[in-house]
Amino acid sequence: MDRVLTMILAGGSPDALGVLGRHRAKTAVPFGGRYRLIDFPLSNCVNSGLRKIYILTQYNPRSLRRHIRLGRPWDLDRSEGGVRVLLPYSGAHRTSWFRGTADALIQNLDIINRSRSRYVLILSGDHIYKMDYRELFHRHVVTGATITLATRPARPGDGQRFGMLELDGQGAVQAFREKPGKEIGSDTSLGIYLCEREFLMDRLAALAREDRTDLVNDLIIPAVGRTRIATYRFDGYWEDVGDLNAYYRANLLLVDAKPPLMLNDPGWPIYTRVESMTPAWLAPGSQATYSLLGAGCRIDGRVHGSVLFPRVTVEAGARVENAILFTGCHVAKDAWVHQAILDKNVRVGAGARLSGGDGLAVLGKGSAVAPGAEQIGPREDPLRSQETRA
Amino acid sequence: MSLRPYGSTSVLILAGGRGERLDLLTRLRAKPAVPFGGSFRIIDFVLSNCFHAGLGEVYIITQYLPRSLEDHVGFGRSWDLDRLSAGLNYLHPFRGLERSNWYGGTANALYENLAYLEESAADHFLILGGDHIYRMDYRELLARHEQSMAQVTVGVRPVPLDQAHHFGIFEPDEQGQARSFAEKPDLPRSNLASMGIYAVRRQFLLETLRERGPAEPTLDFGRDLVPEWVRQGVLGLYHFDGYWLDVGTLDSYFRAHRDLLGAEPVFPLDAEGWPILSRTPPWAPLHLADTARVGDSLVCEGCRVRGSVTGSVLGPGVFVDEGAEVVDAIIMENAEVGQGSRVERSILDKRAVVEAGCRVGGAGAGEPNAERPQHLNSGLTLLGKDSLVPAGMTLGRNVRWAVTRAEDLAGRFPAGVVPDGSSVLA
Repeated sequence: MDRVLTMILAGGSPDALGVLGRHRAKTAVPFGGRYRLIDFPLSNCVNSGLRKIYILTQYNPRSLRRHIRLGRPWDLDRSEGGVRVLLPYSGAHRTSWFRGTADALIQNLDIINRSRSRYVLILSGDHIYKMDYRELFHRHVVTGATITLATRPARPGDGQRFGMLELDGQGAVQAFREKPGKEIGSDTSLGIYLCEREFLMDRLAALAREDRTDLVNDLIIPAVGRTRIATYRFDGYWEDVGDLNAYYRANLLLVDAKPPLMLNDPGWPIYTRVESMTPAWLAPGSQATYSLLGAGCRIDGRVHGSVLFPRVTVEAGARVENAILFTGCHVAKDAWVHQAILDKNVRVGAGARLSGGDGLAVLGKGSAVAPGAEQIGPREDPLRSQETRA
Repeated sequence: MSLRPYGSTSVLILAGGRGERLDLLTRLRAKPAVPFGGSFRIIDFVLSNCFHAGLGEVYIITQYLPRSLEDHVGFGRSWDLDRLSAGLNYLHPFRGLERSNWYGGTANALYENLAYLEESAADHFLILGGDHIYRMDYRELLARHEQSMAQVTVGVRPVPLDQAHHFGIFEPDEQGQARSFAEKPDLPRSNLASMGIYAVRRQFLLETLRERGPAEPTLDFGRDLVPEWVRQGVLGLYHFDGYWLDVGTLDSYFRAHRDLLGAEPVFPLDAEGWPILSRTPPWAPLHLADTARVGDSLVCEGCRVRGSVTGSVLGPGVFVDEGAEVVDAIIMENAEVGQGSRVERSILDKRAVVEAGCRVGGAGAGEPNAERPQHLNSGLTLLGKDSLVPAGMTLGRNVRWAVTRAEDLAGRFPAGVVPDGSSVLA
């Protein structure tokens, strides 16, 4: 696997994640009680033996960069290789933001050109899954393909969100349609591409000349029928948590006794930056069930069906149900939080009642619900209490 | 001008002792490497104190079973001690051209490393024990030491008078300074105990070691040097009144865990501004099943709880199955309590497995352990690292248990009952 260069595309703006993406890159959005989205592809890389990894990003990169730093938690602070975050910069050639997935690669073409790797693995930074890329790699080598895509059998609804593939008997791609609106073909593309570096370099250089910017529409789809595109069918859990509902569902699935995605897997650890090390404190008379708790939580009240990140406090008499609470949230005495996502350091005052009703209540980083206040029904509240800006 | 009110300081942590009174917990590891408070090891507290005090040159003196300690501490990454210069290093007994000696005493350990101490450019040596639970800003002690005329400043703290015979005891004069000192006296003259924290001026320490080191292979701080320094009048005291605990015995180890529990714990693990740092492998968040009932307990990440847990501290990765009850227990990393089993007033070392339908330990003092009546008499039951309690067995109180394979028991307890005070080590 030392012949594989990995490029993780993490530049997308997180519009569909609403206020959760207001202050951070989508890949830096917290997930599963202690992780961030990027931890999943990055841990997959490490567990698959990949050691040369670049993360291409541009949208609010500060929280992502602080999370990754030099890659220590992933054992990627290395003398050779390791992980590095790449941002658009002004200088040598054209100066612009990354205008698309292919453009992001084109603006870093020197890294791909200079690399001595024979293969380039292109990943997305915001999918939740555990995949051994060595199996994909093996498939690529065995089929002798120029590009190998990871796929899963198409499911209802995939046609509106993902690329749809028609395959021949050997699993080679016959047709690739990006978000055709309905399920055409047998497989769904998972946004995971392993390419021959030489091929990728040539095509990216051509796209640069033609000023085209999208990896799927301008590079992968035109290659269908011209070069051999193989597929690797993945049968594990894979989820795009690109919108709030998918994000909420994927988190709450984790509290099951046998969740579809096992976080506690010694054979495939998910690495992340550790923020807190103290054990969680569960007071006498507290009741926490069917939930995940991060380190340093303090629970006096009741928690059910929820995911709590580190250092969340739930005071006596308070109830938290079917909710996701990010690091440092505080639910005061007798308050009720239900069907909600609370970004970091949200404070819910004593006796307040907050519920998404039949939808979701989403509160932005650092916001507050006044003591005794009642907010029932779906809402997104980006306002930060201590902030003057609207 | 130095930015610090005191000169540069090199830290020497004494971590070579056996800690025999902790029995099975130190059978396979040095005392400072014993897990504590769920996610920590005992040495994390002193290393975190060094981190918060900005002390960046730390030597750990090892001798007894150092592997576990070295695995945990490594070269000090977690405490930012992996530095370009200085940082963390180990002083383990070694073979040399002139001498090849094991350490015979705490001060002898330093004498054997005299050449390394001479290399250090520090103005002061801060000598610490690796086995105490406390938060202390050494900068205050060092500033006091620097300002005073003392060659040596010793951290002291009042202890309960009925415990004083376990400690080195100073008799203070009217100014609170040392009049006399006695190591573990039968009849203590005060309750002012040495915390085993010594700040010593560089030149004075080197000269003392050069002078007394060659002839005294068992040279010890508490026994030999401190009484001498008190007589010479070169020793000052630094009074500390915060939480400090020597976890020297199984009872004090158990009590110290009790001090971590509660809404306002006697010793909070997560004090604002002074977190305890440790090496943290990647654990998933703690999972509580629908049947979980957890109260008055600290539970680490990676745990999976389906049963009930009260008054306990669970280390990372512990599994408590459905119908199991864990009461007033300390359960270390990756240990398991099987379906319907009850574990009470017990310490389960790493990866200990209690299979389904067992009873381990119980309330009350019971019969003292027959082999170790002086160490194990308050009713605690101890399950060693990797030990196994096969399904349906009952273990009484004050039991020492280190059986790792069911076949080793072959017919020894036909009724499946191990009485109070037993030692079953294989």
